[in-house]
Amino acid sequence: MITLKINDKSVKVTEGTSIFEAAESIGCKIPALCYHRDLSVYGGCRLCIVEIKGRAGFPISCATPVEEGMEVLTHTPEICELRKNIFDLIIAYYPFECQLKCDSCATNKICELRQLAEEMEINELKFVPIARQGEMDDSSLALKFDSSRCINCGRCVRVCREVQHVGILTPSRRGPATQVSTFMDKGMGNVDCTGCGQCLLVCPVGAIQENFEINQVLAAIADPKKHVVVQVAPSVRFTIGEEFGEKAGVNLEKQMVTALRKLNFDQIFDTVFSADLTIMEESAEFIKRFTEGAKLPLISSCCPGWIRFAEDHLPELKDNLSTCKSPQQMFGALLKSYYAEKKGLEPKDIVSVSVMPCTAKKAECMRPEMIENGIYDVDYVLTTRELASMIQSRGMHLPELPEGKYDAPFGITTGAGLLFGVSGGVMEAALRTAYELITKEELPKIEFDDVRGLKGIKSAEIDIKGTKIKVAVANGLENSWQLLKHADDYHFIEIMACTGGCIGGGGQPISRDPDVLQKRKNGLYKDDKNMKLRKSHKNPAIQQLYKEFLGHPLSEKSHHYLHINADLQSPFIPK
Amino acid sequence: MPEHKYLKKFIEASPSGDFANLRKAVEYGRDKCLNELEISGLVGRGGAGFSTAAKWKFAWNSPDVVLICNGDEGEPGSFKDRYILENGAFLLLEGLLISAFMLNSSEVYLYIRDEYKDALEAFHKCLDDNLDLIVWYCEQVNPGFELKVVCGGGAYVCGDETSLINSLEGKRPHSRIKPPYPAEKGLRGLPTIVNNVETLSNLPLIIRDGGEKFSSMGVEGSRGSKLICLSGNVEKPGLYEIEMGKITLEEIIYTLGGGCPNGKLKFVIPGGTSTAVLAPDGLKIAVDYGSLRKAGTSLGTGAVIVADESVDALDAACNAADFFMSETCGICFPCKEGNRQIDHLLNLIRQGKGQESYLKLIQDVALTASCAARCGLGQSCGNMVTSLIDKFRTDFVGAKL
Repeated sequence: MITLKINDKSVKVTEGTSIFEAAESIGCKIPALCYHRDLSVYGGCRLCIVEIKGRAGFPISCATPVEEGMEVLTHTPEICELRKNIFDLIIAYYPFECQLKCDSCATNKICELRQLAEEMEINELKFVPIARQGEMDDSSLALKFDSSRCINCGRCVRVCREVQHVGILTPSRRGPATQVSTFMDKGMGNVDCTGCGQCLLVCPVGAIQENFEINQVLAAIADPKKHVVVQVAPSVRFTIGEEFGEKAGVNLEKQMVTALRKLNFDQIFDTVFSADLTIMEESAEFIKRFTEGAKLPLISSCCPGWIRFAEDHLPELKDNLSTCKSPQQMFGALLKSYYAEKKGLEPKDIVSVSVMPCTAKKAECMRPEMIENGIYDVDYVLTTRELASMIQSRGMHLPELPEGKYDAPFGITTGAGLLFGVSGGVMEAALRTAYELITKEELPKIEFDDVRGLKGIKSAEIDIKGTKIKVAVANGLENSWQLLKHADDYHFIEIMACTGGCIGGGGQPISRDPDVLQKRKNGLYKDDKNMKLRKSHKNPAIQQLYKEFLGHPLSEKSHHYLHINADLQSPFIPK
Repeated sequence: MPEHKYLKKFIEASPSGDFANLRKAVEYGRDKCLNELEISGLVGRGGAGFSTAAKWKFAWNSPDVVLICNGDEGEPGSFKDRYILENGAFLLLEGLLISAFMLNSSEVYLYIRDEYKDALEAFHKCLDDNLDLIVWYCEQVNPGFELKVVCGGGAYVCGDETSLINSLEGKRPHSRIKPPYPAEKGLRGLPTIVNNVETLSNLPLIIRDGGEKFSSMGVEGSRGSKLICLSGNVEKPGLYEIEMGKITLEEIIYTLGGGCPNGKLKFVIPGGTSTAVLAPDGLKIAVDYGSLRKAGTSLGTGAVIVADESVDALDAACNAADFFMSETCGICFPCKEGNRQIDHLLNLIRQGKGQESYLKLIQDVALTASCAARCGLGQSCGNMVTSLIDKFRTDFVGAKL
């Protein structure tokens, strides 16, 4: 342990801690823009400068490790003046419509420039604004990048490279023209972008955003000829409250259903149902491969960011990927077939909307293998944030809405399906079902603690009546890359592109709380525990679906609607 | 052809081309060589003036030290490295080999500015001419020795050693966060020593004459001779070798350079565009690192640029501002946005759209950059502009405001 003084207050921290973190630990917040706790030190914004007694100049606190007996000052008048100047210079070269006119700005909620302006008590801007031109990169189906808003803090560049092992973003050009861009300025849609949206989550100024599809959805709802159906992903209910000031991890499912109803969606379904369905298919696929000695490990395929990553970086694993569509796409396929039949509707009149914690889903639903005869399984994907903003723009305050219920025939769901929202969840749900299907006995302990938690790579050995099954789970693509170097050591692997799984998805509310994933995760596991049904194969609605329509898992019909049969192809689709 | 008053001596340090100094160094052994280097008091000639021996000591006991010779002479007004490469390549080669021997370094780079085609050719010719000796060196002295000559990509910021290292690694040339210093962790994470062409060219002289004799030249903190690149409005521009501390800036300009050809001298940039200018009343100043530092400026690379009355201070400031704005690496905010702001303000003034308060703003930006910027480029970018404003305020205020 190292003892030092920050602003005359004694602090004890472990060796290797930066001054910035040491100050944070005693509630002393040093302004910063490029710093991010999960990323490498960048040292670009220079806002976190401090004074160290006996040392010349103004070292940056994010890059300076603590030393025994150090005396640090963080907010002297001189430092504050320098910081204001730096901040002011950033604003001087920011789009003219900014200039801290936050009241009229669409991204003011998440903008760290605004927060810093408040923290640093910026009352006036002294430097002379400089006109700036930027370009909008809207080549991606998932994300768009407004370079005129970008301040070059490098967070997106680092998260893409360090956390996701993708690295499509880089500072390009030189000097004053420096900007974040992609290889040869091709645009995010034309390079190996997975669409995971982690860059969007760390961007301090909202320069990267999802491709909004709110207007298309509103237009579909307003069209009397269209039957608009919406499905909501498992994790959304635990996070959407944050956009309304609720704590992370609070389940607002019922209020959200009411909100969707008030937004005039015709039918409201729960993706948890199709998550249960995915488990039926995927565990059947696993058992089949395992017993027939076919190619293992089986690797989960519900995460579109991961699938895209696998295509670009790990094509050699293509035969290991489960052929199951993701729950979103399974649901979409059912809506335009089974549901349409049942309701007597033409598939082309159904507009299938999904609310996802994910930006990559926006691209997934446009993949050629998700379209049959011009009919898309899913037409539009909204992120958690987009839904929240739709609710807000109708003047509704979500936490205060009355409780509502999902519609039949997909109304019954299980805790297993709910677990899809968190890293390790797909694995746990699959094991709950696979165990019982293989042994025909009841599972002695339903929780698989080894695959739970926010660790990047988790592994376990499951004893199924004497047969040892080795499983592994990774979240975050860098972790996945590391794990998959040893793919052959396992029988079954779950991969989620985003840190923490879907609770940390690129479509989730943007939070600066370091414990937010923990809170969301805890909420989710608590609800699984309270569910009456906790195993997918015990879901009566699922059983009925098989009886009425699909037959049995891996049946011909299942394959037609719920699996991908074509060889994997790069999903690049020019807009 | 410009006149070189003392230069001949410098270039002829190793006249026979038989590596006599190198052989002597090998005879001494590396520790004795370091001792001589320490006694000599040699400091880096690239601008910072840091003790060469002190720098080398950081990596003295490390294996796999990488040695990089910085010949990316980007400072406007500086052409000393080019001269050494074109006319004294052998001196540099011998300096490089001695240094590599001393540092136990088998991986050596010479990073040459891409525009220096003739210099590159001259150095290659020197290598060809001395192939036998180099083979002897590789076999007997420094097994595994490899010298790579690399052409720079044209970024001024590569004068900063960490930027240069990034450039060598094939990365975008922007500075790294220090610490770790390159001597600890540099190229590919290996301990790396980066020195200027002129610095390393002094090594053969130190070995030949001994540290004692070298340090008898010059003054405390500035031992030995220094190459001065004299340019601008002078009769006899060119490269001069001077003994540091023993000649004033005025003497350099008038005695060596012959003074301004027409018109009166207005100001002098003593060490390149990153240094503060001196007015005529400030020229009676000894040319060495300490004296110039005391006068609020710097010897820098030794690029002395003379401006006469025909030069408008505002024009000169705009020129410098535009240069720094274009050459910032674009990573750190005070430098990138600061230089953009200075350039913008000066242009507004030039267009007659300025206000007197802008001059204060420029000084605020320069102060911010000097305190908070990440590398030497940013920290020194405002020196010339603010000193011009201080000394020639009327050129800025005058008719333009």
